Amino acid sequence: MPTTGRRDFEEYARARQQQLYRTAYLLCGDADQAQDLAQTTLAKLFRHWKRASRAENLDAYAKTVLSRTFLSEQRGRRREHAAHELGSGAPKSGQHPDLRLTLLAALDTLPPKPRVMVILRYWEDLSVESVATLLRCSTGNVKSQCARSMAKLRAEPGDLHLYSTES
Amino acid sequence: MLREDSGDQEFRMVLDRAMVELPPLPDLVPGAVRRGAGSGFGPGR
Repeated sequence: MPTTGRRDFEEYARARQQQLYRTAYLLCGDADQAQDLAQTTLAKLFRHWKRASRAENLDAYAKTVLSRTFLSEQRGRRREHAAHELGSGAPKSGQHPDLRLTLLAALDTLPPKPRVMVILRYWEDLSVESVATLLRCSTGNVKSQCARSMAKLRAEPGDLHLYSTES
Repeated sequence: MLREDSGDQEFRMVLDRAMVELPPLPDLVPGAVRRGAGSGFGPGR
């Protein structure tokens, strides 16, 4: 890779790594796994930087790589979520630790693909159409899966709503 | 549990509040470059 290409990649990756990590954290529910997923995503971007850097929307390209890598890893892995894993990277005081644990536990009730849809739709603020394109499925599928997932999250006994109005 | 009538916006707020301050993230870029370059495909191909 030419030096300028590598420099461009490094500049992009440094600017975006935190956001990729946060999205990965919501997908994995674990700080170490999220770090690994974010780094794998960046490694794939670096490997295909020539093509990636020509993408119409590089951020969408990166989110696509992240989501598909997560789903691919989930297919071959039987997930084990002990309570202490949910608390890995435990937040310091004043960082809403209960909310984060409650949220991660609720998200963990969703299968991988609906979980990705919910995170892309509500965390990344992508449109239904963008999520459908990214995950190669229909908009109807995204709508129905998100509606079903949100209904499930609303039914979770974690009192997530208590935090949304907290000052 | 989430109130059904509060809708999607409430869930977005929950996500934002939960993710305000995550533990510090080490720089992932050098490792990503190593892994990408060492993948056997070679960068930029």
